[in-house]
Amino acid sequence: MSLWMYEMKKMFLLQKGLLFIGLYFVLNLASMMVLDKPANPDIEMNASQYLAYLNQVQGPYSEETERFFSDEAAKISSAKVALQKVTDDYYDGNLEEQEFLAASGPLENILQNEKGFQLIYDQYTYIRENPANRYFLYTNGWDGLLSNDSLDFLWLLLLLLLIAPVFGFEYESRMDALLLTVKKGTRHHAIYKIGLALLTVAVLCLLNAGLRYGFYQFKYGLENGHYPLQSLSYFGTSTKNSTLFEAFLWVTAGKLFGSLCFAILILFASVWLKKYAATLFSSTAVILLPYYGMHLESSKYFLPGPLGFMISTGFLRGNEYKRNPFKDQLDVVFREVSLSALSIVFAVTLCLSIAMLVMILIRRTNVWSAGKRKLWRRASRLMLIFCMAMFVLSGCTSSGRTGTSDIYNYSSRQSFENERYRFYVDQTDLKNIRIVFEDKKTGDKGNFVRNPMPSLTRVENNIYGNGMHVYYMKYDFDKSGFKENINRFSVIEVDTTNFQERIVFEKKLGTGKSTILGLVKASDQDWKFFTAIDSFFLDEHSFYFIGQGEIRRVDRLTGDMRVILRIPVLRSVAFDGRTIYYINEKSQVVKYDTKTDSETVIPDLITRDFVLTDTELLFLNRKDQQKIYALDLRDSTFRKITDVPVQSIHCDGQSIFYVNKEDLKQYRIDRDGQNDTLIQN
Amino acid sequence: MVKLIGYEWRKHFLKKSIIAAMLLFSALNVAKIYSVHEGSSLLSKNVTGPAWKELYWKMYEEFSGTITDEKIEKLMAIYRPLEKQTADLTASTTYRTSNTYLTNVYEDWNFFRFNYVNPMKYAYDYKAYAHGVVTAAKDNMGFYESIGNSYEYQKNAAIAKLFQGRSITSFSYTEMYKYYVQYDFSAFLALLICLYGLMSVFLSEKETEMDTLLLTTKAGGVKTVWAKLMASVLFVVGVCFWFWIVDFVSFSVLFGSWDAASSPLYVLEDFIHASLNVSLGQYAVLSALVKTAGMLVFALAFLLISCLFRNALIPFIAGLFTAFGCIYLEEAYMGSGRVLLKIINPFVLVVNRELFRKAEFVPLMGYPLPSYIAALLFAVAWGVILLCAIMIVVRKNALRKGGRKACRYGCMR
Repeated sequence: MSLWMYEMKKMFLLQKGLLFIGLYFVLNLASMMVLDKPANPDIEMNASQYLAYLNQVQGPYSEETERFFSDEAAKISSAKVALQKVTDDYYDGNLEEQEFLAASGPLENILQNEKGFQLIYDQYTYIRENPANRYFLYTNGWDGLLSNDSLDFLWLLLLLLLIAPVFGFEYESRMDALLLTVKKGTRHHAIYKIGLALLTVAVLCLLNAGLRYGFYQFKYGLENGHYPLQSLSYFGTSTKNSTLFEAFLWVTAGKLFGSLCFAILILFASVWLKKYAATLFSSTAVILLPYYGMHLESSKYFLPGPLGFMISTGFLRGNEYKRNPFKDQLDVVFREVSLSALSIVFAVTLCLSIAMLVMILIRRTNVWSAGKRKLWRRASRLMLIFCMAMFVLSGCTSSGRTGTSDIYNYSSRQSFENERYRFYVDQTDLKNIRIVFEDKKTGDKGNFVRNPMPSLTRVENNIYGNGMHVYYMKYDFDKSGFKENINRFSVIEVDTTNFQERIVFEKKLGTGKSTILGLVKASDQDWKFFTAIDSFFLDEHSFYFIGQGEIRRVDRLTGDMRVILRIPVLRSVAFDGRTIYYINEKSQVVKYDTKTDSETVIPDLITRDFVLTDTELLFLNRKDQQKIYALDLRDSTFRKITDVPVQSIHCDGQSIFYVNKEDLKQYRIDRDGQNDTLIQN
Repeated sequence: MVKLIGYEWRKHFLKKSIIAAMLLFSALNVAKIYSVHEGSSLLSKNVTGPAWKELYWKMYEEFSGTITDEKIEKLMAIYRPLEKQTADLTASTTYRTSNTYLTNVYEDWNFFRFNYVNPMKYAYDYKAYAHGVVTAAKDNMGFYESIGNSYEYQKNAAIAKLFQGRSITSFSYTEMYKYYVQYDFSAFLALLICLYGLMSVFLSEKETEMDTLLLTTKAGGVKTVWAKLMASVLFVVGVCFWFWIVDFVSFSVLFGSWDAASSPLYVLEDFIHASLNVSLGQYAVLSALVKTAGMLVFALAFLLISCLFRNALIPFIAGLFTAFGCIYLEEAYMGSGRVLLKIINPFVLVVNRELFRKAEFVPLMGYPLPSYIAALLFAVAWGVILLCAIMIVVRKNALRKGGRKACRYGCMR
């Protein structure tokens, strides 16, 4: 058997290299599948609208593009006005249905892609800053592949596991002295070992790069690789001329070089220190300490050694600044690595690696060794102990709650009523607007949110109620620097039988300075959305957040978020536990089934305001001068409630409160149309 | 036994490599603290320039110490005109006019706002805020009692007791403590050194096949194991305290003051709801002790992992993986209201600001237990479990090798 084969057998079979490699690829793929989030999730959530625009402007910026954007912006804003006018004309009887459909159809088509236009317009504002090297393209794929400088921790561990035993295996069993007695056991054998180790690392590194490329190609698509690198905002200020695909090749080459240097370092450490612990410790420290210890993000790229190359995307980034809040100046947050600096770092790293190789050969070593003991039986017993300990320590809770849901209305997002209490936002003291509850029997009033320590917390004045459970939203802040930063968004469930609170949803929004190593990063997109939430409701499986003209559903179990509805002008939204009711651009009421994700338009109902009750849909009939009507949800029959035009409406139990359009005074009327009384002048 | 511990300590930890690593890591630690100061302190030349530092310490003589009405009036006499001038952002930015302390009126305004007015206002208002917390908590007690929620009643009673009589009476330079309590890099360094140092404790004999021989000696069984464990504890405590002392001294020297040692912990705005009524100096000591307790749990975990293998390769990787897993989980739950998930992780003791920055409680048989006590109890539980596991693994080894023979010998007799 040749030396190659023997060494390969030892590395891959005896030292379980194949097992570790397989485990690495499985874990790597699993972590990419589970943890990878699109750089711009809005694009994914509005893919069809965005792509419709992108297809028209893809490529370099031109005057034609400029005209396209100004025309399209004008077209969208005029379409909005025109559609409103056409709709008004139709409901006022000035247009026939055919004419209305003919006029509204094209306008709706224009407005359909409005969110997509906003996204492409954001890209346009970025490209306009430097049109020469910034092109329009779909960025999520390339951003995922290139726009990060995270150290692949699993790759680091794999290299340690594979390379440390190459020489360490013999040292461990003190068989290295025998090497001298073997015919080809000196330098010759050491070269074989080094060659095999480096070849393995190179192949694995290329396979890894291929896997990542394949993953992003499959998940997002990596088209337009010939576009300039600066098309991605991560590299926006870079002065290096490269296309996206070339950048990927450069990064891969950098990672390959870095990984090979790291492998040589491990080999050198193992030959020099002759102990596993010392080898692993020194090799790990060389990588991890500069990675986590350097204050300026770019410093690690100026440091000769494998680290910079293993995360080589930074070599392609440009200078980045942030404004100093105390002085009128810009502070550097990332300093570009010039080509000359890169050459020096590369040359020094290469020289160091060659020197280490020479040192290894001088201290050449080799010998084979015996097998290992199996400790799995003992390990499995310990696993059992740990599982039991985990069970004891963690405990387990469950809260399966099924049954009917109370009705949610967007217009009543600041109030709710259950059997015992009425909850509402008390605005009598403008300096202390708060959510209060009122005992229906005794009339006693008190604060609903009973946190005695209100600082660094902001409670939003929106609630959602379902039976005895009432929910509210809050933001927690930290003040680890000199400014307060939002740290978390939470939805709290209050069991109103005993006012016990429980967190049912939490989202980390801030990274701040108070993180340990910065392993968990919050997304800017999440921050934007969760800090602009108007209202929310929920069911057993999901949370529904209303904000920025959208309703997004967040899965309770996985935390997966997606846009389910786009409602540019939010007037009325209601939820009955399964179906979401909302008003579309044509002032029709649409039912969205959250179980089947299907939509149905309620026929003959035109309105801009409605309130859902348990059996009826109360609405201001656009076809009858905004008078209050009720649609029976069981048999779909209409019933008129008032004979006067109404400006606004809200419902409280069996009472309807409305503002008369003629005298602008507030009235109360029973839901059956009786007892119409003036309550406020 | 003491001799045995001393011998084990010398054998495993008195190594050139460990001493070299300690020295190198200490230097790195000081460099990191220097970068924290240069990158964050309002008095560093990188953030604000040298003039702020000079002016701060000049003004500090006038405004430090007990907060009095006279001092407040004097400060506001400087600040109010600046606030007025900068209110509509039309004031001149002319460089160093005669009536400015720094380059222009905006910089003066920023200087006094961030260094004196905001911290002094916070200190002055704290008494009223704490009183408000006590009132709200007492109100809650009445409410929860009326609806029969005894857990919340007791929780609010604890909060009322905690905040009763809180006030900040003096003004001092707290920036050093502000960044000191958030500093974790030294813990990471200590963790790496512990991981390295502890790998050889049970493996050195195994690697040289001397573990069997050890069992034949007089003190070679459980006694040696205990000596190894005690020596490891001493090593971890030594490493930790060395780094915590380096931290404190470096922060004090680089920030130029540790004046605020006698100020209460809640003088730091992020600790407005501090779960303990201790001074910053006391907190520094307490934090060091709690951090060390956390490191000991990790040390036991590293020892247990090393017991399972015959060389350091997989134990080191597994230890590193475990440590990063715990750090990741801790980061994910930092600031979270899900207290139990936060405190079950022993790494919370290492970043113990999470335990002391806010009064949080976990229910224990209907009783609200402060989160820091619960975290310590969890750490003790982890420690006991890991210790038991180590003893099982090591004893099993002894029994298998020595026990069978002993049994055979006994049967023959």
